[in-house]
Amino acid sequence: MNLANVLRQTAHRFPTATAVIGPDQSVSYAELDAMADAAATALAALGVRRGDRVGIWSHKSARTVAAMQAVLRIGAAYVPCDPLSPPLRVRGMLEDCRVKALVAPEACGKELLTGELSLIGLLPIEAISPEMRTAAPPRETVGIRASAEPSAADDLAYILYTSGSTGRPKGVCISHRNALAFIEWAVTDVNASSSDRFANHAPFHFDLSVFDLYVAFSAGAAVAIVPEDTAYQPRRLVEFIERHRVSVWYSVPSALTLMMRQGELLHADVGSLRTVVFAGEPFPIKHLRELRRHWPHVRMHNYYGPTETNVCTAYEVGSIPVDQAHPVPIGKAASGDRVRAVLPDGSEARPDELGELLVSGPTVMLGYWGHPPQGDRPYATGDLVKRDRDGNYVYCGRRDHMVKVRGHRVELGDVEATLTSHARLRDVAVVVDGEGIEARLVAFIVCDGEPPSLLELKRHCAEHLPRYMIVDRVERLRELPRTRNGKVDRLSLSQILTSQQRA
Amino acid sequence: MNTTEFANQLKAFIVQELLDGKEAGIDGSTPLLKWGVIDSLSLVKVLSFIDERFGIDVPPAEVDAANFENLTAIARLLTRLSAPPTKTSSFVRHGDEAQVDDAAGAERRR
Repeated sequence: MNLANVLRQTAHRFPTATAVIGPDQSVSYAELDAMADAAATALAALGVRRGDRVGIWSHKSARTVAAMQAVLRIGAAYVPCDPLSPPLRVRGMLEDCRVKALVAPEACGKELLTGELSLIGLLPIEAISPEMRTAAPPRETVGIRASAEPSAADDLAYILYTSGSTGRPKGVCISHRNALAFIEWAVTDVNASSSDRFANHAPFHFDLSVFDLYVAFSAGAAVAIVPEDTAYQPRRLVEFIERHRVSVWYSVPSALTLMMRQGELLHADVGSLRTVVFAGEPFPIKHLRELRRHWPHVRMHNYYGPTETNVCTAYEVGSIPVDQAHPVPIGKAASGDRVRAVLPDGSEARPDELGELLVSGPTVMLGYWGHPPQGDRPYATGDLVKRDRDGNYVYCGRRDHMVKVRGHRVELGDVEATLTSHARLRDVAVVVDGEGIEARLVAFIVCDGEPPSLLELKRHCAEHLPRYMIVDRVERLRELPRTRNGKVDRLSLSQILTSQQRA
Repeated sequence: MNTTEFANQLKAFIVQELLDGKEAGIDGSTPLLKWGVIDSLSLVKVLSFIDERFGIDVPPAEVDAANFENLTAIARLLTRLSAPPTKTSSFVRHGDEAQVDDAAGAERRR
């Protein structure tokens, strides 16, 4: 049970079939396989061994995919870092999980790997090709590379960092077993075949990309990579789907809504599309209803699950009644997992009671890097759910301060920690104004003297946070409202925003 | 309209509509995308403004990170898009001028 074998096996069966259509180049399965092997030799020469971590900090491309596969072939784990993240944040992740090597553009890598990171080996992404030669690899690397089954099912395959409430990202550790349980389920769920054409909209540090790459590889289909700067350009996205004759599309609902509202998606020539899957946030029902109405023959699936479990429940969308006001359910257990809803005291919630969703099964992560292992403990999602009459779970909100902004998971505490570090701010609370595609981050600040401008605060955020976490608006207060137990009264802050809108 | 004029009007719009009205600190090289001043959603507002104010409909292929990196880049884009077509460019696509010259040179060399 080894994630590295997914590509290897398909390269044997369909060597000449197109594997990846990247912004840089298109490669066949045989070429991708060769690139992965060559890059693995180079990584081994840098000292990477089974169990090590390797950072991947690069824009999406066929080479980036090859680099990820190369790491798996050594029995190491890859750590995809957001190419749009500032260097400071990437350093934090590389230091946190103590990577042995980094794959990145040469210039970016050299600039980053200084000081405490200067001993980390750099494999320039530009160097990756099927014919690349590694200068005289030490004798012992040859044996490392050639071992056929280097990883055990519960070994670490990759780490995905997500926003943490204290300002430090948390590394979600995913094993080969975790990944394969989801992938094998998904291949059957969407009935993937070698004649499909997948798109990859999500960045590689988002687990939606696991579906795009590995379901395509499992089936021997091609996957067309959406370049980062096209990902939220509505007209270019629609053209992308048309041009590449995409048959299976997977993304956050925001991307679909954007294409519908500003990209003329519903008037486009997308007869190739047979299946649409969405995940990551609720899909506003009025938009989904329109999509359903326009495309009666396209199968639509709602996948649900935090990064810590990948997809743990799923629901196939049928017809949507004209008067339905709530989003479609998140459905029933998927990927071989078991789910249940519990009350705060731990007892099982009745169907009509609000309970927190707990997940057990093969896709539950190994744990967060540097924290105690998850073990057999069910994963508590922090999501509140009820069940409908058909036994489908329905999403009813969060238990805490995690929000979704621009399709991304954001811990408000993460943004607050960064803003609080600004010299001129005494106190900060961040809330979300609006939902779905209109969600915006609003910071309430307390400062003495002249408040910093919005531009200045954006500059400060950009230095520490990925772009989607940069604050959108700032309101100044004399003091932050607090509840009786001293916590920031976020309800009060939200009400300030609501009353502003009414004014 | 020259490049500077485009840049000034864009700056006024961005400061008023996307920021808090405080102008200090924004110049031609301020990284608009990197600092989240323009994101994928407010980009639509910028494109609408460009259309309404200048009558320029920016083609999708030109909407990329390089052209919208900062005020200077956007202003240069708009200057280029609003330039009247020259005699050669009406027959030749932008970027093909070099080939026309080379062909002429090859002809002369033969």
